[in-house]
Amino acid sequence: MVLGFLAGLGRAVLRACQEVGGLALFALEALSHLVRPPFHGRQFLRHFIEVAYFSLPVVALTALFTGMVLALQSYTGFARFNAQSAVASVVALSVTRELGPVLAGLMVAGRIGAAMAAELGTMRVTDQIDALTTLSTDPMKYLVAPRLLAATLALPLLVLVADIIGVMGGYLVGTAKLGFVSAAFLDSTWDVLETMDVVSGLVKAAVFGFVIALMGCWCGYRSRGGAQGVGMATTSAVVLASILILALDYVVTEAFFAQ
Amino acid sequence: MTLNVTLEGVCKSFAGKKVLEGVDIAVPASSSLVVLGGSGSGKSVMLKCILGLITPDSGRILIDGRDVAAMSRRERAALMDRIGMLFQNGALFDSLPVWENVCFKLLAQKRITRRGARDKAAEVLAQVGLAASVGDLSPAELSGGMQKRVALARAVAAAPDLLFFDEPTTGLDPIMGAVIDGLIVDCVQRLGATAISITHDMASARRIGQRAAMIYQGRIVWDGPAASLGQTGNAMVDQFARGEREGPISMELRR
Repeated sequence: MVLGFLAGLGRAVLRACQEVGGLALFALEALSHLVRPPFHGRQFLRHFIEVAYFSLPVVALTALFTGMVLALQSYTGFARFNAQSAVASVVALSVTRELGPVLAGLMVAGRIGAAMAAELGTMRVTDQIDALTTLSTDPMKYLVAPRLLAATLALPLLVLVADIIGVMGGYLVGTAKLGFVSAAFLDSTWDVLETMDVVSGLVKAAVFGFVIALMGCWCGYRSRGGAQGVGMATTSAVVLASILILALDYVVTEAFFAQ
Repeated sequence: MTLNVTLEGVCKSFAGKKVLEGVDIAVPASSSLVVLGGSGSGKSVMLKCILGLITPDSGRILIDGRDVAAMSRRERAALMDRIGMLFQNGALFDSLPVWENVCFKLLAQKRITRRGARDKAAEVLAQVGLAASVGDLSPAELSGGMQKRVALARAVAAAPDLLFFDEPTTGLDPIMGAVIDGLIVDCVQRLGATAISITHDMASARRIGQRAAMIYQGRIVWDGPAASLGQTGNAMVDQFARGEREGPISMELRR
């Protein structure tokens, strides 16, 4: 029984190593296509617009309500310590450093990661990926590389907008409901923010964008078994991307702000 | 210049299940071979091995005398430029309009401008009996027969030397099946290409093939003139061609 357990454990570890190795090779091959011509600019543009422009409403709404709730929560919490004046600073720092990139990443993972996995998965099970090969087109170059680049470049732009809207949400609640003076709220926000706060958030966004596209493409590209396989690939892409976003959030934070 | 294809002892297994067990067949240049076989007999796997989409476990696949497995990436890409393939379900790209599907290879290789591609697509669509206006539709807006014709147009648009047809009439009514077969014969003759088709539709096999071969349990068990199908003298082929329940194949299934 013990041997059986150990054998099962060993198989699971080997399978996990195989998956991680496969993912790393997949990512490296996709990256190599970004520096080797020919380039599919039209594909890049299509996916960039899809990620950056069409994700804007959902990311903006998420950021707006997050900023509003953050102002309200921190005000009621800080009131216990007579520290209400810190609300503007907390909103600005939390949104730019943490909530903007993470929440935008999670929303985009749900929207774009799932769409990429579903599209590539359907292409796989309907032989469209094989068809690309027979049409003298490398599927990694045509399908994966443009998506990776588009998501990596688009997410920082989205997060920049999310940062502004998130702080604006806090400002709206702060001035309209909590009685802050408009100029004082803006001054506090401006004074507390440093370049590194925003830059770290944008770097996180780029990392998250890469991870979202990588997981979407990886899961979709390998999907098997018809509609059920595509469904599983879509679920896996979103779950894996979400977990990796949270894990990498810690890693990037550690890299930027560890004492 | 058209290409010849030779398979020597090609074997392929999936998870321990042997699908191809030593396939040997030669297809001379400018000839048309139809490979017959029941579902799961390994026809599609054989085709994907020739195309390089699947790597065989053993054996050799020679195209124009050159081993496909030994080719560099560049050589294989150059070979792909000379190949056209019609997939069973069409495999048209949903995200592109029909005209872009038809001229995909020419556009990808920058052999044509986007404006030129529209005219070229209209010309090739006309060859498969479709109006130029179909070019602006999405593949999802087409019927099954129209999708097959667009897929055929895409396969022949770049004037390949070697053509593959995977179950070209599956899912079509008999009349549309005959139309597709006629178009395939026309395209192959016009291009002077070598053609390998796989099917289990006997009428289609007789129409599009000069030669036919039957694959059974991962091996080629017969090959000969397509016109002789039904009276080949090979019990398995004749049973398959006539669609009879009794015979060596059904005996095998019963065990």
